[in-house]
Amino acid sequence: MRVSPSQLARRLGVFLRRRSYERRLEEELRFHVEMATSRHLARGSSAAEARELTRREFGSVPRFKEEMRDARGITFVDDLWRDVRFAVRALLRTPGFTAIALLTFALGIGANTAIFSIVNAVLLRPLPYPNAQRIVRVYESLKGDPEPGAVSYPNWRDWQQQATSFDALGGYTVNTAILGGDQQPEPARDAAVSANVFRILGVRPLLGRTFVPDEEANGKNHVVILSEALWRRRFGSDPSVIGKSIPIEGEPYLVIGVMSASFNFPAGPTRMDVWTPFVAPEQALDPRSRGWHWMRVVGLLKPGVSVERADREMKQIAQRLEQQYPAAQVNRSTITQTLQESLVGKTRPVLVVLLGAVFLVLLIACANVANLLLARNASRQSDTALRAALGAGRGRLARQFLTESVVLALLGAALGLGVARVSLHLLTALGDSSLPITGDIPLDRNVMFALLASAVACGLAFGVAPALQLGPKTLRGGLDRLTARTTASGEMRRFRNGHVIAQIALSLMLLVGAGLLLRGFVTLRNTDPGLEPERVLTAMLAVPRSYAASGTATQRVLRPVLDRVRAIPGVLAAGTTSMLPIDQTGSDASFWVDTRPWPKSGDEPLIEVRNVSPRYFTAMHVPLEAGRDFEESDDSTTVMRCVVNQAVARLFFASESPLGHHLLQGGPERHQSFEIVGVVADVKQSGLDAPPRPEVYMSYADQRADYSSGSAWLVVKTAVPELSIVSQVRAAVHEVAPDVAFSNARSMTEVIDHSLAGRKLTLTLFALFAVVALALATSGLYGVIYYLVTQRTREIGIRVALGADRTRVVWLVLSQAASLVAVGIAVGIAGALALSRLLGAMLYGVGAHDPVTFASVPVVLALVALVATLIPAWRAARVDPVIALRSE
Amino acid sequence: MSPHQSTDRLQGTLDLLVLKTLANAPMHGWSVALRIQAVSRDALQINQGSLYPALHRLEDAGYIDSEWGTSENNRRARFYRLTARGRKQLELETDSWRRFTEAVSLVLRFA
Repeated sequence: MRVSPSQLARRLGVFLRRRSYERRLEEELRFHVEMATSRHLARGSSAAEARELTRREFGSVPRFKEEMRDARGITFVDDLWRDVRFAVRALLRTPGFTAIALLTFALGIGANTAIFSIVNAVLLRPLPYPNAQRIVRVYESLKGDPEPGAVSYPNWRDWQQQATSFDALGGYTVNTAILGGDQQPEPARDAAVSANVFRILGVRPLLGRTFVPDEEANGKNHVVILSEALWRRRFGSDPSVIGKSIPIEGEPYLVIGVMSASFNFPAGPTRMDVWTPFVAPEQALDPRSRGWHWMRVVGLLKPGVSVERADREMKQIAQRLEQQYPAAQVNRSTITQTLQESLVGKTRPVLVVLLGAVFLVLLIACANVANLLLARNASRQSDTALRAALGAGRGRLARQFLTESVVLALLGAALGLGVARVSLHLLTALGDSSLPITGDIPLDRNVMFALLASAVACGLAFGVAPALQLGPKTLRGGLDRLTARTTASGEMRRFRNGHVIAQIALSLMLLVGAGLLLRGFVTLRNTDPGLEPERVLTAMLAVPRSYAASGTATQRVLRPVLDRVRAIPGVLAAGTTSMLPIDQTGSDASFWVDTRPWPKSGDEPLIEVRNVSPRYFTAMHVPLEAGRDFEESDDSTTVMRCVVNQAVARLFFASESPLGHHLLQGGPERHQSFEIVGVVADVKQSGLDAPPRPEVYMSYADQRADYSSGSAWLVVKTAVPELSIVSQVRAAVHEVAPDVAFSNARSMTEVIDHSLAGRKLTLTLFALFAVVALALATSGLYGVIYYLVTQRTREIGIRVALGADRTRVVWLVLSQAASLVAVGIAVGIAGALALSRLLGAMLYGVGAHDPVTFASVPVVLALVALVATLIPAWRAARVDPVIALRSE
Repeated sequence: MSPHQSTDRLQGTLDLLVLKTLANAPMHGWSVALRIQAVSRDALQINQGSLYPALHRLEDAGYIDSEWGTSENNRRARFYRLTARGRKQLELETDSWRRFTEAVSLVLRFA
């Protein structure tokens, strides 16, 4: 029977006004009867005759009333309502069962809802921009390399002129700016964006205006848009802030707008504090800067243009640029992808795996509840059989069972919502920056719908087994049971055993997954980073850009700061680096070496570059393998020096000593030359899970203006607990450099931990799921064995009476459990072997079919299962034959 | 199955008659009953009561609308009126009824 929406609305109307509907129905029929009677009276019948005739013509009033209600769908709803009330009463009658079933299901569905709401927030919900589907990021890349990279200014300009797929291509960069004012200088995340970026995103400011193209020029660019958070913090949400001035990098900037709190562009681990106009630095305007990739590009596709088409066009343009500028563009291509994809692409596999894992937990929870229902219905079987005997149809009984399980599921889902809320709260606290979202994860309509749908589906799923049980055999058998108890029917035992096997198999799969992740994580955690993070304090020094631009940052800030910090008692060594290893990576340049002829242009290897101060290696405890460290006395006017890591030594020098040779940066005609004065050990600078890359360290005194970001990381090795001297170090910095912003003080251990946060979160969640799964499966097994023992009390009693010893009885029970567990484990191992590859990149240093994990997890599972079985087995062994036989 | 089907046919026929009757003017259940009886020259012997489930079924399906009004003798009565959807449905069912009867009479004539 199909019901149209308008029909449903009408039915709902009738149903909600039941009383008035009944009254009108009554009135309508009475009118008819009275009209008919008066007609008969008018034709000369007596009053009694008239009533009789009318009754005969009309037929049974109650029957037609019932049919009328049927026509309105009221009967169906009535039955449903009756079933629901019956179900609730039945659930209340067995509070123990209900509590366990509800809890089990709430746990399963709550965890699912939590994970799904993250998936929803991260992957499914469109970004909060009106044209979200048309907003894309365009990257430069190396041909055949899926890694997206930054863009050079001349390329961006050429793209803007040549590409036809876009309404606009905006450029931006993210920097740290020093915010002055009444308080101590504070570092602010500053996005320098071209004026069209706001148009591309389609957002309006909360207050004021956004940039105009005129402001993308030196001299006119001293305007700033504040984030809502900064506006609140620094200006107390003062609406008259527009037109006021705020010192940024020591210069006054005019506040022209405030963005709303929901605006999060560019999205990243930390939100932006201010937006300033994008102005290309002088050296970027030089056409020779085409090979200098430093900015990011966001575009708005023309309506109707697909991302794929835009990507094809951009790749063609890259091809043309390669022919035009072979030196800078050789082997370079582009990648175009939606903004959403650029934000979540890397998170997707992790989330999908987690969603799969938590779904397995839900399956186990369902199997558990189904088993509980089966057990409960078994004890109710005689009641059911009686009702069947009294004329309740099988369909009607099945519907009632299903109603009951769906009611149970819905109640569980309501509880699960609470579980989801709590776990989301914990997750966001735990997940911190490892999820590409900031702000809350809403339990929105999508999530609610998914929750409701899965609750109903689960309710039907775990109600199906008890409903199917209502075969004619069971119904008849049930009646027999009114007088005599027998063992459970084979059909039902198969159901319960099947459920237990499935539970064990599923939890084994989850345990294997958790085990593999754990082994990977431990391997990773124990990886030698190549430096010693203990007792090392790191902090960011945001140096005013004017110093960096004039190349005086080292002389005016870093060197005096280091001198002062080294004088603090408890400081063993101190140094600076332009990028904190493990935390930051990605400043590359192509180098060649003076011992070999220049290769074909573009074939020079890309080498990571860090600018470090003398004693940086000491502070980080990076072993010096050959040569020497930088010295403050090094004079770079005649010769520039560098220190290389062993990867560079292997790359260029094989067995020969690199000391005294020169690294060349540039091309055969024009290049800078760096004399290699030292070789240090490899550091896993791009993260513990990535192999060390070739790296060249340059002196912080030779900081090239175009590479310097204006900030440096202070690295301090201490003899005392590193965090205990933060305030002293901060005071020291401000003493010698009052215009420098000191921030992000963390221990190096924390930096490394932070780099593992994402993996840790995945592992924690997975392990949590596996533990819940194990607990559920164990309780499922326990329930089944316990039930089995109860059912066979009499048989056991007889055996004992006939002289079977207790050990034999325990063995009997154990062997029953053992066969279930063995089958479950076998199925689980097969499933885990098939699925563990999905963990893929999430595993580090351990194969997806790691024999240690695959051997140990089943043992653990078997031991836990043994414990779960021993309790009922022990109970069976203590069966007193006299009582057991008498109880029947 | 077969008794069920025949009830359906019977119901369908009654629905068609009700719709046709209401096509001319809105009327209450009693006058629908009288009218069907009069027009069919008392040949259709159906319980008058079965008219009401039919009316409610048709309203549930959205083919007719009802409204409380006053009858000829100044009593409150429920008046039914054909909706646009009902009119379309009436055409459809009239057609299918014609085809059905034509088919039956063809068979009766030539079989």
